[in-house]
Amino acid sequence: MMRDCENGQIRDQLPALVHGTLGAAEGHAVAAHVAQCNDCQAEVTLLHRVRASLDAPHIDTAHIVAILPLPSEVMARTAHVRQVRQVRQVRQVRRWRMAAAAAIILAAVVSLASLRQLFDGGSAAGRSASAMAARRSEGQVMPSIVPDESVPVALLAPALVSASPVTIGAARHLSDAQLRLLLKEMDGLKALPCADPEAPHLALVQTDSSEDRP
Amino acid sequence: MRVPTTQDDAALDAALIKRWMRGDQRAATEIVNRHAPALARFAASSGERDGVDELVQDTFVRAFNALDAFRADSSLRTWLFTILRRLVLDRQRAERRHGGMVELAEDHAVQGYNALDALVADETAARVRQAVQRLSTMQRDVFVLRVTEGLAYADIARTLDSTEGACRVHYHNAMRAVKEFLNDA
Repeated sequence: MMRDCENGQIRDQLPALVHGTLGAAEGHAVAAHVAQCNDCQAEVTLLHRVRASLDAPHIDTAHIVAILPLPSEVMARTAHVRQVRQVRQVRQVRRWRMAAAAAIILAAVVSLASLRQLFDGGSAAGRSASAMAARRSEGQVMPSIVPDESVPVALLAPALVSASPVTIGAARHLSDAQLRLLLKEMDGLKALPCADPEAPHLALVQTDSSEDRP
Repeated sequence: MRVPTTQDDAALDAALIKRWMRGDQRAATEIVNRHAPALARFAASSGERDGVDELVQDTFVRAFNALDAFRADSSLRTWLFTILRRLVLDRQRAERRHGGMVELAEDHAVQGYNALDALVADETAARVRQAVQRLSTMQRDVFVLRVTEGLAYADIARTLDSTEGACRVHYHNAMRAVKEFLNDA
């Protein structure tokens, strides 16, 4: 009946004792314990038995040596692999440099474009402001496009408006009187800061032009 | 007489590798002769008794193809065991994938060795092999590397991709299981 010795540290060293791989001092200490411990003696016997039982199958070592690569082949392959790796590294570094250069150029172009836009926008605004000031000084009135609410929009008889409304495109067919009326209406329009101004409620009515004709 | 130590083994292996790198083929023969039996024993204990020759050959071919990259962080034998174990695992995985190998149940493993036992005169040795064969894969690998090859726990852990503590536990559990089996037999 085999039992475990209570000294776990010693039991841990028994395979090394069997293989003779313990240091001198450690080896003496373990051997001294084994000499007076029946459990450890039984375990050492078992270890020897296990080593003897697990025999190595016969191996044809000459055949193995015959199929081994030559050192020159291995070195050449290793050198080739190293070379390929170096070339890859160089290419990778070159790719990174190209990418970095492209990024820098792109950033420069974008900043230049934005700076240019900033300066051009400022000067254009300045130019339009000075042009408007010049016009005002000359006494010109800026055109207004939104109707003045104080001026009545529907100057024409509603019956006529509903009867035959015409579009602005047909203004060339209007009589002089009608045109004068239209221009007067347009003078009364005011400009509002509106992106999508509502269409003025104007309706042009084609009247009998023979009345105005001389 | 001075007992050769693992440091001596490592120095001898390093010298042999250097000689082989310089073109000395006899150094390769010495390396193979030094380590082939241990590798064969380990392969056989892993349940690969039929393909031991091929496994050991492949291990050496792979090792020699990368021998100039061997950094001696571990001993040459530990490195060879690591390569061999990977080959064994690859082979077992491939066989499992192709349905060629069924995971051996404990009884089957014992029967496999029973056939061998008929040829073995020493009944005790057969029982010991049965006891080892009944261990779990990890316990068996640790036990065989510790008992038959005398590897330190650090080297076993490196070979089996485990930790020293885990290997120590596996070893003691394996030893207890072997003793129990032999006590019952």
